[in-house]
Amino acid sequence: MFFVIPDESKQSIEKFMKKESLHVPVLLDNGRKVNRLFGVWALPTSYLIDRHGMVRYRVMGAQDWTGTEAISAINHLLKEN
Amino acid sequence: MRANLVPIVIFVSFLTLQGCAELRPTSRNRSLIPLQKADLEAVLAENEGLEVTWEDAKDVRDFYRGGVQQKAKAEKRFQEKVYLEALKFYRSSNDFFSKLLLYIRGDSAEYFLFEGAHILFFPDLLVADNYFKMGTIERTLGHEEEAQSCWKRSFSFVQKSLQSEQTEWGLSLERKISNSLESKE
Repeated sequence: MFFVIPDESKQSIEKFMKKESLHVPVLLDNGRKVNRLFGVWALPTSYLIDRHGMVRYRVMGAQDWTGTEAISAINHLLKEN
Repeated sequence: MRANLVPIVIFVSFLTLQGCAELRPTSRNRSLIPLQKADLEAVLAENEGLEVTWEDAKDVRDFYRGGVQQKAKAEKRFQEKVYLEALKFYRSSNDFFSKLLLYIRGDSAEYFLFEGAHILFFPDLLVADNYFKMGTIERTLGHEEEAQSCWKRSFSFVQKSLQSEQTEWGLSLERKISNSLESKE
């Protein structure tokens, strides 16, 4: 799991991560190249990518990743070969 | 074997620290947009990357991206003079754009996505360009009636584009279409 954050300084991201107690790798997307390659047109947007590199789920907007639906989607992918 | 080397599931989340995202067009810029700011190459480059298939397209922006990506394939075949393949991709591109145009109208050189992010948004002009090139192919194949029909459609779409945004790109295409319509074989 990792975050992609466009056009933010390393300092402000570190401050945010510390404040929210998040311990997740962050890709600094200055210039929004990764945003463009994924075709992101709203923030936040999350993607679940399977072991074959295929995007299987996309969620635009805030999402409770501890909820039943999200856990079910992740479990479904984990069971696949 | 290769599957064992990659993580089982990758979770990627694109975030902003600045607040909620929103989608709204910026106010229309009525000044002439030069080719350096808006042209086909720039639009194609903006939509490279993760491919949108018809089955996966859900939102209007997906249909725009899908339409541009199909157009990129068509342009390549057109350059290679593989005309029947090119026609197939131009039609597919127009299918994506047609779906989009049911919901959103209005070309824009600065379409607002979210804070600090704008894109070139030219569905009408891209459809016009598709029909123009389809007409060129039809004439090359000796189908004059189909060619004229494509150019008439092209002209209608370029007019819609120019009503929304005055671009050098659109004006140039308008001239090419007019010349083609006047030059009956």
